[in-house]
Amino acid sequence: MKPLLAPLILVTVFAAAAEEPDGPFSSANAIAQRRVVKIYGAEIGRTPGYASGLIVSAAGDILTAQAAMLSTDNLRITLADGTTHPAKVLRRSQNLQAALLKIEANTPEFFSLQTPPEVQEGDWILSVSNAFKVAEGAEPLSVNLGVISLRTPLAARRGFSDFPYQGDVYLYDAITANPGAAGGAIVTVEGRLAGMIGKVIESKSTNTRLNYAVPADLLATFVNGEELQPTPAPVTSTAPGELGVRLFALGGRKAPAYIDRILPGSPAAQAGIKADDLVVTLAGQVVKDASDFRRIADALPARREVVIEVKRKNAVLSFRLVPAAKAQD
Amino acid sequence: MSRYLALCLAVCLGARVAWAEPLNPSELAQVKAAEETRIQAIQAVYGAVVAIYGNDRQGGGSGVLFDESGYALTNHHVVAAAGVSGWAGLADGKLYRWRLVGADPGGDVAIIQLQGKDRFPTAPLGDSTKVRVGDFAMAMGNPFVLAEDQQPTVTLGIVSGVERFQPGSGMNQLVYGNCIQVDSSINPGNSGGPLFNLHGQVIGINGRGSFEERGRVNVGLGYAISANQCQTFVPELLSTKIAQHGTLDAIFGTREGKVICHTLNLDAPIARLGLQLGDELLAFEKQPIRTANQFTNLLSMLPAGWPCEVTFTREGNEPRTVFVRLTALPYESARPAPMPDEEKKRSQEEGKSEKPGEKEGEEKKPEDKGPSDEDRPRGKGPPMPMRRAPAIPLHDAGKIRDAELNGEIAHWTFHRWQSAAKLGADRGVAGIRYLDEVRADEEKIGSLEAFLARDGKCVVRYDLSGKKMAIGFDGEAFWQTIDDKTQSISQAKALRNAYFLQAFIVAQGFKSDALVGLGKLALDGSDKAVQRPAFRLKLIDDASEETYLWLSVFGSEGRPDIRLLKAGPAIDDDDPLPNVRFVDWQSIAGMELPRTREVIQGLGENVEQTLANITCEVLKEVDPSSFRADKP
Repeated sequence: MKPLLAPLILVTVFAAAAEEPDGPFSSANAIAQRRVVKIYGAEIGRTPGYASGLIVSAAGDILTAQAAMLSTDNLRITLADGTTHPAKVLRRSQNLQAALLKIEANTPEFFSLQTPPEVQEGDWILSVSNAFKVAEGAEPLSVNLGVISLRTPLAARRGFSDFPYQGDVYLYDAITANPGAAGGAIVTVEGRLAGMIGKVIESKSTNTRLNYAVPADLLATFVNGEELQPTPAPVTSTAPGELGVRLFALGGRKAPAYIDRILPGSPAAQAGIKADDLVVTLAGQVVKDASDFRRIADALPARREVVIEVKRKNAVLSFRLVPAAKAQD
Repeated sequence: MSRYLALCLAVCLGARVAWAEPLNPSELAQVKAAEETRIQAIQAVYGAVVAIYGNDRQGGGSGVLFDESGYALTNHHVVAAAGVSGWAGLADGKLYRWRLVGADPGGDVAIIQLQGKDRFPTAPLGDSTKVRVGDFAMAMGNPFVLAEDQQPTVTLGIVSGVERFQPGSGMNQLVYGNCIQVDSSINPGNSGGPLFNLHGQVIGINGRGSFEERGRVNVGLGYAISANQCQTFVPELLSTKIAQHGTLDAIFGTREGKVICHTLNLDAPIARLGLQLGDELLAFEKQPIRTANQFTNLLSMLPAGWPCEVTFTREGNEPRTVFVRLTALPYESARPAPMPDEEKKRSQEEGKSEKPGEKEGEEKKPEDKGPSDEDRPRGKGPPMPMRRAPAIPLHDAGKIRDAELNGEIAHWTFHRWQSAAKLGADRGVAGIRYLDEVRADEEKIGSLEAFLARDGKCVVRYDLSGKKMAIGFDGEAFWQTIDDKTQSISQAKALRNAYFLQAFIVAQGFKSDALVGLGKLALDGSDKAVQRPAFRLKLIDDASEETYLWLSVFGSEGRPDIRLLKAGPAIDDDDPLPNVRFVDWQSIAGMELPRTREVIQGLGENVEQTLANITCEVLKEVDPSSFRADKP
């Protein structure tokens, strides 16, 4: 394939130097505009109630990023021609944080997931999405230009929680970590689908928002139902400990360490710790807020006894418990 | 890595490249040539990019010079923060004083004038209707007030969207209609700076971004006011006005694929011309209208007073086309000043209801609410004199702010035509004699002789269907002869005669002290003539009678090209008196002179008669007595 392309480049470079009839990215953009849709769903709290999606079959199958906005009976999809169709969620992928939707309409223009393009570092890509809901109806989506930085496993978080994504992503320098961009297309300069823009997350190492896409080959495994199930990690002696305590997610970094729930059968449940208890100390260290608790609890090794002190009504109670081994990612 | 870079550049050239082996020498040469072209385009306009500061040399926005006299475009929200004067830095590293000329709060555009140099470097304006999604776009300016040496920052990206609408804030303010969306990095301080295409033409003025979540830094979505909107507003802003945007006072919505009028002010000019509720809008300014959003976009680019061609139809009837001048959208409530809280609430409500046209479907959220801290002069330390220039008042919107400066610019405009047409150069030409055929509907109905002297004197004799008339200016007074009866007439009466006016204006063009002693010259603002944006000058004589002159603004190359387009007494569609327009300019004895003139009627410029030139004779000598009143 590569040697064949070399003469093609030569011809196109010369042709382009002479005249630039449609602009450098117009054909890729034109292809992508017909195959990316606007999705409107539930607005929950501060999460945006809109997103983008990719048409992946002629029968109205549409891929998007897994999001709270999909949890509504009033999910609507607007196609490039401006027509709006009700949509339902067929399947979701925890690993890829993706969802497969369906509309009752023919969609002859779709991205094929059969042979994903070979995308390498340094290749130019276009992102096509409805970031910030700039376009509506039949108005064209926003197009940004970027360069593929690398393909890498993802380690990221969303708020305080780990982002439960399993697998590689493409990182690139186009800014797509914007509301509404998730589910949009990353296409090559020929208009072939390289990946799907993911939802807004932060890198664990830099704390900055990541601009990334789920590679098309992984999307294909999900759409084809061939997605690998996560294999449970073997329990080892050095595994981190798990108390089975979950705190209220009250927001803010200084939230008090109130217990929301206790995992059934966990060490905490066996010791008699209850929901609504306020954690005061853990392993001999003062717990001032939820972040203290997380920091200390995450560092606890399995199978080594610790003391936890909680305030229940007006009493301070002390419990001894042995953390179980946490299932590894 | 260099291979990747080279490939990227090959894509720049427009090649549809997949993956390939390293470039061969000739491909590499192409890539380097493309890069060189881009660098040259940047260098050609680099000097025209302005860093704008307040009087305290704090804060900062950007701008771009479009005329060598120092006129620069920027954002209204930049000057609203800085005031009516301040400092401007150019790439030569020097700071120049600037003063505000005019501002358009509605479209977030302003013109400032830099002072202290005879000829400033300029950048040409491109045709923003030719901008396509995917085109490369370069933003230049002074983001984060980064450049200590005043050298502009250049960021390259692509056009992400065209014909975007971004709602404004307050009452009819900071609306970005029909704007260009780009992913070129636009950060605080870029406001007011130019967006260039790769040919070094200004396609827009960068003004805002989608800033919602992460503070005011580039998030990949920036918006630029289209260069065409700027061009249309240039005369309005040079008239020193706080410019207003126009409305038909009719609101349209898209219903079943048709654009239907659903709200109408029954006193609106368009209603008096026959538009009714339920009528379907078919075309606006010769553009077929498909959605209400498209109409809103087009309308939002036009100033108050703009003459528009509107085509509409009523169920089962023939389409009608009318010409109407847009009425002004207010910036402030006309009601007496209420309590501050009520004011805020009310202006929001009215801002909504006054919006012409409407967006369908999902309602859009205003994102960047205009001026921000970074674009505003930041105060540090103790107060200094002249710290803050006076704010720009909105209550006098639509009026000329500085009559003296307006007069200066009006004369400057006229002089620009004189020098563009090379009328001032003395090549031993003492006068010009025109012999014309007067035609109506292609048929000859009479003849006309015009005799123009370099010192501004002129006489026109014509014979229309057997009726003979002469009208002249002897340098001091006007006279006319009808049927051998001669009498002196007022200046106004003479200038209302289109046959005389067309010669008189060109004769005045020969004089270095043109129009002196004939009244006060003022710049009315933006108008349209011969289907293009125009300066409208107004000559007010001692009897307060007005004669208007229309001059072009920019040429096809995007450089200022100020030439006479039209003259006459009529500015409304129903004015009974005709205007005259100049359509065919040719070089005669080194001067650009009109060969064909047309007598026209109404805002649609219907041609009633054509003055087709048969001969145009250059005279080495003129007899001054030729211009005196005919002896009875």
